[in-house]
Amino acid sequence: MNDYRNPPIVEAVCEFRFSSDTPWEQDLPDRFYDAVRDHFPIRESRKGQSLEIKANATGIEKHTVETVDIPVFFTKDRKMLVQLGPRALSVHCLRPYPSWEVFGPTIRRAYEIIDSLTGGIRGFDRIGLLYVDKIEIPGETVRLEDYFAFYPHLGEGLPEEVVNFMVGCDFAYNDRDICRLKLTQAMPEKQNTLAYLLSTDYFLAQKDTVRPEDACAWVEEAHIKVKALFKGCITKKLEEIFDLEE
Amino acid sequence: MTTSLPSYPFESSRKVWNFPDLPEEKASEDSWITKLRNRVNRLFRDTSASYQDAYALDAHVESPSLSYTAELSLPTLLAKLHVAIAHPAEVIDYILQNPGLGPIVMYACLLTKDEFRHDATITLDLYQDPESDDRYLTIYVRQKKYDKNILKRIDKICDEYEPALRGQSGWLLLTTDYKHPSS
Repeated sequence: MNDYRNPPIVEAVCEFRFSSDTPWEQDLPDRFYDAVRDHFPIRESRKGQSLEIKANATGIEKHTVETVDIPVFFTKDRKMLVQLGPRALSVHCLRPYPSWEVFGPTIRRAYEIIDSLTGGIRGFDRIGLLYVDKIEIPGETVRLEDYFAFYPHLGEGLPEEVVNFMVGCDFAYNDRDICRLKLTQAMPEKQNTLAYLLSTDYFLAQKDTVRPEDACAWVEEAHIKVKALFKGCITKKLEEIFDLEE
Repeated sequence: MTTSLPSYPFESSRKVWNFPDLPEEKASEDSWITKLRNRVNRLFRDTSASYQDAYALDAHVESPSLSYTAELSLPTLLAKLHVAIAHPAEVIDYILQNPGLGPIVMYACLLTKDEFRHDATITLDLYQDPESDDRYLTIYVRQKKYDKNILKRIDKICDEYEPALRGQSGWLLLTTDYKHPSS
């Protein structure tokens, strides 16, 4: 995703949701901070929701919602951050996206620290690699097919004037993973442009099918798939806007 | 397929809305987050839920992304309220770098709109102090003919949302610069 001089990435996220038997002690955020404070010196927290549903053969047995404090660790420039939810780790990279050569090792380091601090991750409910791209195209009217290979198709019987849309597709990989592609209109940042949000979310759809020691290899493979899918979504004309590096 | 700059014909609501999962604050009917949830629900009760399919819901149920929520939810709400964003890229970047601020911005804009209704223009912008690195979000209220009680009315709104800023990184100021609404 870093082959462009003007990349459209507004956020990249890698998230691990660990299995319920993975040990997760209360002081884990403190110990994690001690280990990462050189790279993520700013520690804050934000509120989130924890939803727990227990089901049995007759239906929902228990349903609880509680507010949780999610520790957030920022780099000095606040462009990268790590969040620790209950049995969850997410590494976020905001624009300007540096490169996979920077983001990939950061994910690996955060994962290895959690693995070591928990005494060994037992498994995964989900692993995901998500890229959110914001694409701005000059003009007051845009023919989507000129720029995208992934867009809503409208038959002849439908009106041509569209003021908003949302289109999505799930692609299956390896009998285990799904990549969810979504395209919708977004808010333009420059005058006389149209903006689109393209998100490519590659995730492990079957829990406990990746071993903890293979998690980082899974992320590397996910990155290759996401990159290929992104390339498949756009036309040469759109690549010109991103300024492809030679 | 051709898309064009959104014009929202017939003054109708946008038929798509994505909002961040607003955190619960149990046993607190008076909490700002409960008030925000109620106001958002009231505002969008006439809006078709047909877009609330798996893909729309996924935006905040499954996705860990901060930007996806901010990029889609905040502009949708502000468009509904006719609140302008002067520099969208800077405003959204600031919200992304201060997670937790997004719902407070929504709440403050809703309160401001409730107070001033059609009596003022409301603009959200990022203020950058020219003499320091200090940056914060600012909501500007501008009127064609300035009400002599405008500052009191602004203070009343500040009293409502400022407690929510405690413990958050980043800041949100509500003020007027006494400029003409068209400036």
